[in-house]
Amino acid sequence: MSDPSSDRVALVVTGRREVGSAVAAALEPAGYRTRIASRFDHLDLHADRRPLLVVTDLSLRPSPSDWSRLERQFPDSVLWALVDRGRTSDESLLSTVKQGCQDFVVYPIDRDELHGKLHRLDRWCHSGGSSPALDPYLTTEVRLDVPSDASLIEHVVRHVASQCRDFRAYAPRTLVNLRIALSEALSNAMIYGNRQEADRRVQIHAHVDASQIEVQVVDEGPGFELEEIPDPTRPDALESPGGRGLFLLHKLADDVRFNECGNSVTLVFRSERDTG
Amino acid sequence: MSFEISRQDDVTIIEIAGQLIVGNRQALKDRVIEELEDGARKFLVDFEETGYIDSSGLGVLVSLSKKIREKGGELRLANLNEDLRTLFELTKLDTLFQVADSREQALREL
Repeated sequence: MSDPSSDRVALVVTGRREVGSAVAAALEPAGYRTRIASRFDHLDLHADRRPLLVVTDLSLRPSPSDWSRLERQFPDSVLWALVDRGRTSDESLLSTVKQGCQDFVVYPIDRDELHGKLHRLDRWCHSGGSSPALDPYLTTEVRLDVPSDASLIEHVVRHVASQCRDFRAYAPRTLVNLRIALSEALSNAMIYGNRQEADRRVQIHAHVDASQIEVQVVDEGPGFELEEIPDPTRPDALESPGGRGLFLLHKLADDVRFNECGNSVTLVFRSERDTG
Repeated sequence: MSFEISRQDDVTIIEIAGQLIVGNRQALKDRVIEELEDGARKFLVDFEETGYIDSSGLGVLVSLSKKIREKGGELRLANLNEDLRTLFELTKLDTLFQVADSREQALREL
């Protein structure tokens, strides 16, 4: 899988499709690939991409808690606001600056003006920016003990992924692979291992450093006999709704280890930097 | 995950925001089947704001596509980001679904 992290990524938070498309088109010649979020939920999914620039449409009327969420999710990004020409008051612009916005994009977009701002942003990024210097010395451990409640899966995945995101060694693609594979491992543990009995627990232990992410998921079920994994990409299996879980684990993780009885799985994701 | 259902002419558009995984796939399935039973036949799933999908989310898409086809309808997917595209390629589901680059393209083809 290729690493797209060398490209610049911008995130536009707007509920207006046409505005999102216009900003994306204006940013493209400057080398930005744009992702669009129409609301403040799910921002963490975009945070995996580590966008350089996050542009928030003021017509969404972001509250102070939305701004702090933006700052929390995108600590290394530059925050800009998007304002409609002639429609935004000086007061609302001032409050945006107080919330940490560094600049504005005015809509409809004047491309020369925008590219001037992007040029200044480039210079600013080269002069400072955060350093991943501490990465090699940092280790993060996460331990969770949760009931077999499938609605918790996305929260567990979000928590573990956000700990891994702090390490620059992991490409956005690795973080996405981690999210999908961990989600698989958790649903296997809760649904097949613990048979969705809520009082049976699932334990998650993640150990993250700059070279690898290792996540172990243990359920209280009897385990299973790991036979050969059937290939869900065979033409006769393609239309089957199930049977892709274990296949995906093996495709997405660098290493997958089960214990002998099969109620514990360990997923390993190696840093691209480490493997060269 | 949240999803929104809207209509453009005779096409039912489903936008999935967030992730489509085991914890929430059933809500999506029930809602689309409801639309199908109400007579909708052309469906477009827009993934512009979808973060990721796990195997059960893929399974739901597969079973919906089958149900829609059985009723003589059609399902198209649009706006898969590069991660989702990779997932569909890995599982070869890109050969099962009609995938369009944009919503507009999918609407033209439906």
